[in-house]
Amino acid sequence: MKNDILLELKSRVLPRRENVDAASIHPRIKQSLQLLRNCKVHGFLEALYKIWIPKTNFLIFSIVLFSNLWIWKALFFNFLIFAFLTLTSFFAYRIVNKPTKIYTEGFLLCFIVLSIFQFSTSSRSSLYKLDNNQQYVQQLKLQQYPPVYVDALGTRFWIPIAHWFEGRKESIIISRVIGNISENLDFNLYFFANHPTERVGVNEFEKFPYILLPFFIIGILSAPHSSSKTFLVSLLVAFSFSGVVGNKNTLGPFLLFPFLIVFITEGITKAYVFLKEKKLSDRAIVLGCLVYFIVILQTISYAIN
Amino acid sequence: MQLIKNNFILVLGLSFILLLGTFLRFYKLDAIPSGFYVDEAVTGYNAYSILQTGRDEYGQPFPIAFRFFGSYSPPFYTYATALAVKFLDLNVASVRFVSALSGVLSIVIIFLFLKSLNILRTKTGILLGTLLFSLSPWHILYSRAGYESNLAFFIFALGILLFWEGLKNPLFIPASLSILSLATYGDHTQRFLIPLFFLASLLFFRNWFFKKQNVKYTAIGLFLSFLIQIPNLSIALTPAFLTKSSLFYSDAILDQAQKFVAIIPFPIAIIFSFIREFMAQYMNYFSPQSLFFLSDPDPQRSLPGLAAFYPWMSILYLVGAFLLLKNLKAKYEYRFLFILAIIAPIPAALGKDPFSTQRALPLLLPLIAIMAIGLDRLILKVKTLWLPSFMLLVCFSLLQLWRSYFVFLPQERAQAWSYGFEELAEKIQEHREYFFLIDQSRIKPAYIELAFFLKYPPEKIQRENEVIKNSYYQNINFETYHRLGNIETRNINWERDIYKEQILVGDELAISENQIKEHFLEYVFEIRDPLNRVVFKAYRTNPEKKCKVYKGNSICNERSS
Repeated sequence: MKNDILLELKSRVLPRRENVDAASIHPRIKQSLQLLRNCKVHGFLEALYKIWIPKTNFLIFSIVLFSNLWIWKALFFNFLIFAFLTLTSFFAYRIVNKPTKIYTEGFLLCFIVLSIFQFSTSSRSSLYKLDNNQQYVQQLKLQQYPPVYVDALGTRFWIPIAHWFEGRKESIIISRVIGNISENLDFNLYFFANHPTERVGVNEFEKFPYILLPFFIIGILSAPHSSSKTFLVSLLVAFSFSGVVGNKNTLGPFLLFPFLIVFITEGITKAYVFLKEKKLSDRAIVLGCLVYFIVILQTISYAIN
Repeated sequence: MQLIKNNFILVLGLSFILLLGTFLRFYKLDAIPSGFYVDEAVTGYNAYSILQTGRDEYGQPFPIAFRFFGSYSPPFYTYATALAVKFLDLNVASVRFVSALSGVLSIVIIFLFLKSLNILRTKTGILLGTLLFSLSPWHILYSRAGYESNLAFFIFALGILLFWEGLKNPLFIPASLSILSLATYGDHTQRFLIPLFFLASLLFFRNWFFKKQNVKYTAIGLFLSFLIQIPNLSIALTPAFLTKSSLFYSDAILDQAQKFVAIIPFPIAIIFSFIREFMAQYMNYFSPQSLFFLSDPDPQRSLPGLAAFYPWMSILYLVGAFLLLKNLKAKYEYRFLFILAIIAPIPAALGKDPFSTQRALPLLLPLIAIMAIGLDRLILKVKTLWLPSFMLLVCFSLLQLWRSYFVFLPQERAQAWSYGFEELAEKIQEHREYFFLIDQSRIKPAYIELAFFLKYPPEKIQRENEVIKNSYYQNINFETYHRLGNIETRNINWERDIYKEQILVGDELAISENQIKEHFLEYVFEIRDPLNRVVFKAYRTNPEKKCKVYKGNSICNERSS
C-alpha cells in the first residue's frame, strides 16, 4: 500500500517523460544546451551573460548592495536586520524605477519593520533630561547671561532669555533632535567612517567605499526618485526618526541604508550610460572595476585594523 | 513677490545691512573677544616696531614675510596695522581695526558680486544674500580678530569680483589678476589658493583668455602679477616660504598605507591613502554638519554653540547646491561659481585640522552665493510666507549671535584668547622694582604680549634678536626665552631660580602647594578670568630664608660670598 501511495504522489508531482517534448523546453535553455553541445564556450558564456545575468542596472544595484561593509556588519549583527535591509533596498530601488502598488506596499511594510528594528536596537537617551555634568554646564551658562529687561510705561519687564535658551525643555529637546539629525547629514559618516570628525565614545566603522561618493552625489542630482513621493516622504521620515531616536546604535543609522543604496545605484547607472554614449572603451570599464576593487580592499583593511 | 521695485530701495537696503554689519564688527572691538590672542599681539607689536623704526622685532627692515614665531606670515596686514597704530595708538582696538574695516568693505564686495553674477532672479535675493553674509558667525569672528585672514579674504573677494567682471569686459582683467596676485601677501592660504585659481581659470576659460581681442589684457595681467610676485619669488627657495608645510598629514597617510601594504604594493597604497585622506578632509568642508551644526574644534577659532553658519541656513545651502549642480551645463555663471567652490577649500583640505575656519575662509564667498541661490528660489516658490519666516529666522539668528559671541565668548573662551596679559602688564608696572620670571611651560609666548602692553621699545628687542637678522629667512626655529628689561620668559628652573630675588609667575599648574611650602614662596597676586578661573599666579621667592635652611647649597655660598 505504501508503494502505491508513493507511485501516486510521483505521478502527480513529477512530469511524465512521455508528456515532455522539445517545444516545452524554454528556448533560452535550449539555446544554451545547443551551444554547449557544439563546444562553443565563448559563445556559451556570452549567451549566459545575456540570458542569465540580470539587466545592467539591477547588476549595479546588486553590486552596490553587497559590496559595502555595512550590509555585512548587519548580517553578523542580526540576520533579520540584514534580510530587511536587503528587502527594503530592493523595494526602494523598484519603486524609484517602477513604482507599482505591490512594490510600494512592500517598501512601506519593510520600512516600518526596519524602523522598529532601529528603535529597538538603539540605546535611547532622554531628549530633555540632563545628567550631573550637563546640569553643571547649564548652571554655568545661566550665570553668564546679563540681566535682560525693557523699561516701558514706568515698569521694568524682565525677559528670561537665559531660561528660554538654556532652561526650557523645548529648547533642550530641539537642540538634541537637531544635533541627532545633523550627525546623519554628514557624507563622511557614510563614506569615510566619519573621519576626520570622529565622535567621542562612538565606535565609528566603515560603511561604503569612498569611491562611491561622487556617484552618490550624481544619484541625488539625477532625481528620478523625485517621481516617487513615497520614497521622498519616507526619506524625510527616516531623518526625523533618527533625530528622535538618536544615533547610539552599533549598526549606525541603518534606516537610511536603502536610500543611500538607491542614490548610489542611480548615480552609477547614470554615469555608465553617459560614458557608454561617449563610447567609453571596455578597457576603461575594467580599469574602473580594478580601482573599485582596490578601494574595497582598502576599506576592508581599515575596518580590520 | 517682488519687494524691491527700484534701485533706491536696493541702496537703502544695502545701507541698512552695512549699518548692521558695521555695528556687529565694531561694537566693543577692544573688549570682545576678551583677552588678546598671541597672534594679534605679535602682529600689533611688529606693526608698532615698523612704525617706530622701519624694522620688525628682529631688526629686519620691511620684511617680505614677518618671522613672528617662525611662521613667516605674509606682511600685508602688519603694514596696514602700522597705519592704524599711527592714528589710533598701540592698543587692542587699533590692531583689530583693519580686520573689522575689511569685514565691512567685504559686505559691499559680496553685494556687488551677487549682483554681477546675474544668477539670482530677484533683487530681494541679492539683498538678502548680502544680509546672510553680514550676519554669518564665520565672518564676524574673523572680522573681529586682529590678524591677517579677513584682510586676505577681502582682497581675494575683490579680485574675484573684478575677475568675473573681466570675463564680461576684458579691461578689468589686468586689475583683477594684479589684485589676486597681491592677495598672496595677505595670508598663507592665498599663497596656495591663488596659483590654483589661476591654473583653473586658464584651463576652464582658456578659449576666452586666448581670444584675439583678450590676449593682450591677459598678457598685461600676467605680467603685472609676475612683477608683484618678485618679492615672494626672492624668498621662494628659503625655509621661510613654506613653513605651513608641516601641517600636511604625511604621518596619517603613512599609517593608513601600512594597513593594507600586505595586499597592495607600497607606492599604490600611499596613493590610495592620500586620496582617501584628502577626500575625507575635503568633503568635510562641504558637509552640512560641519558648516551649520558643529563648531570648529579649535576653541580660539570658533564660537561657543554656533557653527560657521546658523542651522536654518542648511536648507538654503542644500537647495542652492542642488540647483547649482543641476544647472552646471546650462549656465556659464554656475560653472564659474562651481570652480570657485571646488578650489577654495583645497589648501585647507591639505592640512591636518578637521575643519579649519581660518584656512577655509575663502570658501565663504562661493557658499554665500550658493545659499543666496537657494534663498532666491525659495522666495519664488513660497511667495507670501517667506518674508515673515525669514525675518523671524534673522531675529532668532541675531539672538543666537548675541548669546554666542557677546555673552559666552568673552567668558568661556577668555583663556583661549590669551586673557590676562594686560592685567599682568599692569601688575608688573605696579611692582617695577622686582624682577619677573614668567613660566613658559604651558602658555603661548608671553614676551610679545608683555612687550605690546608695556609698549616696550622696539629698539631694545631688536638688539636682543640681532643674531636672527643675519639669516632672517633661513632661521625658522623659535626660542621661547626672551628678556625684556626686568622680565624674563622661560621655564622655571627650580634648582636655581628660587635662590634669586624675583617674582615667579605661572599658570595654575606652574607652582604647586608643595613647592610654595618647600621654597618659602610668598603670594603676591593672582589674575582670574571672567569665569573666576585662575590665569596667572605670582609668588615672590625668599632666597634668604631658603639659604638659612639649605646652608650647604653652592648657590647660597655664592650669594654669601
